[in-house]
Amino acid sequence: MSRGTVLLVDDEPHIPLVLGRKLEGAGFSVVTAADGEEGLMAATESRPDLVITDLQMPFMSGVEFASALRGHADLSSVPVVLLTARGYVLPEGEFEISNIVRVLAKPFSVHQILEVVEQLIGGGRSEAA
Amino acid sequence: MHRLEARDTDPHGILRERLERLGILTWRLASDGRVLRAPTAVGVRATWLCNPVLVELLRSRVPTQPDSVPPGPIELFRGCRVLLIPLRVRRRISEWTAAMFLTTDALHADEFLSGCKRAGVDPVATAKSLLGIADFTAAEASRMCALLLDMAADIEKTRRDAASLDGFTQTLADAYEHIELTYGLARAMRHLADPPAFLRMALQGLLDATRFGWDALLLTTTTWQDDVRRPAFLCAGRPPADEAGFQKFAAAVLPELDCEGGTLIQSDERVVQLIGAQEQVVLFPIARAGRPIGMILGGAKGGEDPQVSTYDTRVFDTVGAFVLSYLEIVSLLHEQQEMFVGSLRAITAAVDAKDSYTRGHSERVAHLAALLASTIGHSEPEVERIHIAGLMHDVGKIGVPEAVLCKAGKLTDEEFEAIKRHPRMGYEILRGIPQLADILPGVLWHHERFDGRGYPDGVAGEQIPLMARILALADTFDAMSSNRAYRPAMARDRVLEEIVRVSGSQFDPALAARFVQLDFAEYDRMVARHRPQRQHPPESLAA
Repeated sequence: MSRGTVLLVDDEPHIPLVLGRKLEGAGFSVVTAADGEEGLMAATESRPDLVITDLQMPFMSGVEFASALRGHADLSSVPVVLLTARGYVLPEGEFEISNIVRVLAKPFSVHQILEVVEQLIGGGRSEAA
Repeated sequence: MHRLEARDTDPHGILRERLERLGILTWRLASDGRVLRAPTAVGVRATWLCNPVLVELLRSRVPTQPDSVPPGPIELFRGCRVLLIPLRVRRRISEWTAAMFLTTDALHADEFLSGCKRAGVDPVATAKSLLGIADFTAAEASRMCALLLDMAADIEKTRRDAASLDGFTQTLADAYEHIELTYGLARAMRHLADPPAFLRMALQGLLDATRFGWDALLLTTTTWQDDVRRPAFLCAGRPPADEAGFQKFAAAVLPELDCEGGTLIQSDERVVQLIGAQEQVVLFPIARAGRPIGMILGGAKGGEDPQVSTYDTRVFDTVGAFVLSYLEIVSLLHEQQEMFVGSLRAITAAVDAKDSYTRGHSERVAHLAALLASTIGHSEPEVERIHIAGLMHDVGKIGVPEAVLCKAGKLTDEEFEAIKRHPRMGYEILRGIPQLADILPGVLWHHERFDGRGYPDGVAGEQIPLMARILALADTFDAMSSNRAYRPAMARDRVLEEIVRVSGSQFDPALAARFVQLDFAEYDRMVARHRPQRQHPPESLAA
């Protein structure tokens, strides 16, 4: 049984691929999208328990995407982890207007991401991980 | 042989190529339906395929909404079916491939005829030219279209996989560079004797592993330069400013640096004004004991993304951590060495102070012994050890009563025996210090003679370690050149003559020959430095 669904959003296709494999290996279900727009569609459809999104993406940035989730009736409480290569510092109050709960700098180790996922929705470390 | 495929500018090119080989007419259309490329053809067929009636019909059937793409072929006019295959880039349709299937019915349709008329071609000749490929039944066209859509989907997937592979390849290549850099730094860390070489390697390695155009290291203090307060500046690549510009920048920025947070990205006006960098500059602060003492800088990032990212700052963090640790080790080593030599000098001074005539004696013996060792080709570390042996050679005199050491008259046999015990006593004192194990033979045997008539053990010739033979020369030279309680100093000429005279009996003749050739200028300066503090001026003693 799945330990929860994680939506991975990044315009660099290899990143959701690497992360997805690791998370699936740890017992999570994984849905991927290539940008915020697609991410919003995928979120509406798959109702993820957690969203991990890149910051810099075409059409809709990670922050815009997270804010859009916040505004969506069914998705307003889904936690969002923001990945960024730009040294993004979450402005004061950003937690209130979006669902961003964590900001992680790229490059990251997949192990590190898995730990964050476990903390946020995994209910601790699984034996399979 | 395989060639690397060029970046994909026409992903459906391969699809159109295959269709044309099957005799299927294909168009490359812009997202709004404009013809970018008509089917390959010659003669009247080519003219008809470009006729405005057909082109306008095609354009009018291209959907304007991305979600209204027809799932199968559409009938352009009687007997003429067209399959529109979208090419999507990030879900936006960027262009279309149109594949046309004709039946013989098409060659009688009104649209065909009006097209011929507008193009100014003869309908009969044109129909004839198209007859060979106007042989698709409706069912065949449908099946063919299903196949084409699958093929287009495969191409789409291949493109995504290729993009993913590109991303992996780039990430892997970068990671490999960074691992190499880390290995290189780890290996170079042990070369503690040459800090500038390590730092230059670190700066060059940092440039090689990233896409920065230059990097530089500034330090306000160093431990490896003679003048530690002289600032150090090293760079690689093509920095936009000279050392003076960087020093001004460091002076302005250093006091306000947060030394705990790792690499910073600077883009304020000082970057432009003081170092002339037009773009972002990366800065890694270097601190010692919580105080900023320097920085590593990098700029002129190139490559596909000239914006500095955390991928870049991560590399600066890594190199910075290595440089920081290296400088810390070098500083600690330097301090330890200072402490060690300082302690030795303190002990030496205590020994020399027992007899006011021997003030500075050990320093001078150390200098002469090191000079001789260096002249006969000893390496720098060996010379350093002989210098330390010179400093310590008389440490055993701590155990000789001052009344004996400073006695002006002739010594009794008993008193002379007490003096003769000092080499072994020195040996015993120092024996417990592992860092001094290699100088023990010098301390123990610096009063041995080449003919075996010395003390304490009466060893002779080459049996006496070289270090002890060197010390014997330096020790005797300084003793003869200095006033003693029991006699005044001898003139330089007489001292050298005496050394030559006893060469072979008291001294190793080969060493003595080199010794008398030494340049004694620094020695004389040391004598002058030590002299004013003597309690008894030499003149009064000479009388």
